[in-house]
Amino acid sequence: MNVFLGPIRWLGATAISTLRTLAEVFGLLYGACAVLVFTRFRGFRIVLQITVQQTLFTGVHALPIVSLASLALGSLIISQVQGLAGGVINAADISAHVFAVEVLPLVVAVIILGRSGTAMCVELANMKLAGELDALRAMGVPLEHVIVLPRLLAGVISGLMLTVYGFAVGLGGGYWLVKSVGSLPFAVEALLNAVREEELIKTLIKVFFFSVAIVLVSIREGYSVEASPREVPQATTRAVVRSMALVFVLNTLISVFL
Amino acid sequence: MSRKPILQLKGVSACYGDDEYVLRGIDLDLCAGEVAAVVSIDTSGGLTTLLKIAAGLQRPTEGSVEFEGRDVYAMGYREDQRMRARVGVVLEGGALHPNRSIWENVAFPLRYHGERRGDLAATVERLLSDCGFNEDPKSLPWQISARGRKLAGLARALSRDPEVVIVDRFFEGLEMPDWRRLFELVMELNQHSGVSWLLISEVDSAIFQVAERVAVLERGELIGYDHRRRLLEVPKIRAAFEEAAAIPIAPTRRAQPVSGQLVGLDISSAPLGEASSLEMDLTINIDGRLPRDPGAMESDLMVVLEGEPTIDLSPDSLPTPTLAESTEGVGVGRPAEPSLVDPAEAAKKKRKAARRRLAPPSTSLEDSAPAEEEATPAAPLEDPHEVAKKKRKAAKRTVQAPAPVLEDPTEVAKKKRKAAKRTVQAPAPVLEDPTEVAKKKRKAAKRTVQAPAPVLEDPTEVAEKKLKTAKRTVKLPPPVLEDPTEVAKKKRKAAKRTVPAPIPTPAAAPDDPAGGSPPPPKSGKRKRDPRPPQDDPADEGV
Repeated sequence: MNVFLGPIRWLGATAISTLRTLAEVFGLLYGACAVLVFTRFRGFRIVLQITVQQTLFTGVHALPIVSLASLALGSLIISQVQGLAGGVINAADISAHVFAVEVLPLVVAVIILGRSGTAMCVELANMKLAGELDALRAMGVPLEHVIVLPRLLAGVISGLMLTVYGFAVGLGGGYWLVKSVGSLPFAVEALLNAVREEELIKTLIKVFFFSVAIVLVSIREGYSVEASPREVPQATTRAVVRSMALVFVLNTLISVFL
Repeated sequence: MSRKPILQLKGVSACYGDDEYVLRGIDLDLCAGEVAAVVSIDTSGGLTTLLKIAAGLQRPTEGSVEFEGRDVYAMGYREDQRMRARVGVVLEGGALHPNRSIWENVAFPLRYHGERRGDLAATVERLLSDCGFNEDPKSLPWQISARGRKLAGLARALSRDPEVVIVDRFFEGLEMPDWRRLFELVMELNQHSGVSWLLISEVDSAIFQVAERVAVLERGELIGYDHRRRLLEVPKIRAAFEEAAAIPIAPTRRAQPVSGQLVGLDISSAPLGEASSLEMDLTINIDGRLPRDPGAMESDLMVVLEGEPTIDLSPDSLPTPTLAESTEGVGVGRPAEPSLVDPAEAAKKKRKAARRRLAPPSTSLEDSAPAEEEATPAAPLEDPHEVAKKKRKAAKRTVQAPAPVLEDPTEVAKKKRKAAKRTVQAPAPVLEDPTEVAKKKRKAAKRTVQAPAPVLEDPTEVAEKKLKTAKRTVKLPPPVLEDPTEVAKKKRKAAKRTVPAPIPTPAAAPDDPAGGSPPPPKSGKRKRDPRPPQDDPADEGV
């Protein structure tokens, strides 16, 4: 009997944990929005300062790795699709669609998660262990205002910025890279024009939700640390796994329904 | 007048995991203007959890926390913000932001809430200075000492002028000067600004110098929350504090001097002990002003008696020791419980004390003292060696004195009756006739008038008279059975030697080296006296 009940229990526990995580993530999102109403620009300069710092860290400092990843993946997709499709128009359309709509948002999400999501989780976990979060609350400083909101804004701004940058580097640089190695039957303008406006918006929407999900899940997992420093890496691992799972689910949902 | 509780914990329990309770049913209240502390006599912890729960940072598993009667965990955003502005919290280690300098950490709440924009720098400097922070404020928290972080955390907690301050691990990481400074800061804010303090501390008797009431936890349960005296009546708590007393005790608390005066002094008993020490029950009634709320709960009252006690420690005066009436100056550490001294009782005691002062000395111990050991008034300027000798003699007499024998009550009664008869039979003073008294006085006045007036004699005459008197003194026959002729010869010879002796002039001081001292005799040319010195009658006369 236990052989059958065990997996069911695990499934139930996982479902409950996931739902609880989602509820807490939405709670954080609600708090970050509500605090804007309640605080009425109180502490605006401090929040702006933290937002700029986080954007610098999440967006600007990620440009090199985004450039490399976009260039590598863009050139790979273009060369592979051109070799498989053969036709001039189809190869450009397919390469642009696959890279811009499906690959690039995931690349940006992975980079944001790998660089910033984990960092946020570890930072907040350590802040909680050191009592800094309690100290902020004791000072009457809402965590949603100085912790969640700046990181959320920075994550979204950085994600969108990195997507646009990755789109240009991936398609333009990839085209130039493939062209320099071999021959391409279409011009770069055909490649760039192959991405329609709605596809670009769909890409940006995906990146927006991915960024929000990554930031909120990372913050939530950072908050989940209770007492021991040993919980910090565990929380970080959970943040990566759950963020990626959520990103994949969101990617599928957005791709299907948009 | 009783103080209202400003922070109340009602049945608070905290549980980590499924059934791991660190706090169970804690009922605690902090009154406005009170300094309270929480300690745990075992290592089960729960103190930091209690602090977080009290500060509204961690929701308890059971129970509630109320700030001025409002549930902290049911407050809305704005109410919560108002509460946070009135409660300052110092977490363990200071809990400073590691990426901000000390200055920025202290200024953070002020900047966020937009308070004191104009004099922000001055305010931060003042806060750091008040807390005794003397390191570089531009340093990051991890670049300074743990002590500095703690002090900076306290400065940050005080930045918004809170009404309640909750401090975790009050003694941790502090040296004695810091402790003194913080002690002064706590008392100053408490007494002048009415700030309430809740101090989480390890077991240390020094906490009693700061806190009026101390809550003691054991295994997460509250086993006592009271004043020092009542707490230490619990053997378990006393043992814990005594064990912790191996750690150096904090400095003695400095009392705040207030105006006051001594209105009564009652020494109820004075058992005979050693001559150098006395044990007695002393009741002191004072009338003065307490610096705090007169309705405050009692703790320690320190009375400073200034001046030298005028207790004569000799065995003769043991029964009636008195302290100097010039005792003055009353210092108050903590206000006393007003119910301890009933005004009517105090007035009775005052009257009794006054009667005792007026009454003659008690004679309860006279029987055990020898008759010749009557107390004599001490000379004002006695030789210390002589005084020591007298004391030693008195101590010997005390040791040699027979132990008081329990006499037969009937015998005692008889003796008393006899003494009373003697007192009665003593001649009473006779009231003389006033006329006779007047006559006697007139006669005495006449005798006084007929007495020869003192005549100012010539100094040379006086000297001659003295010489004659000396001759007469020398001519007195010694009570020795000698030959009268031989004795007469010796006397004549002695008189001859005495007459030529030079009279010392008053101008020559004895210590004047110029002319006062006679020239030293020349040993080589000195004439030998043929007679033995003991036979010289002049030596006997001088």
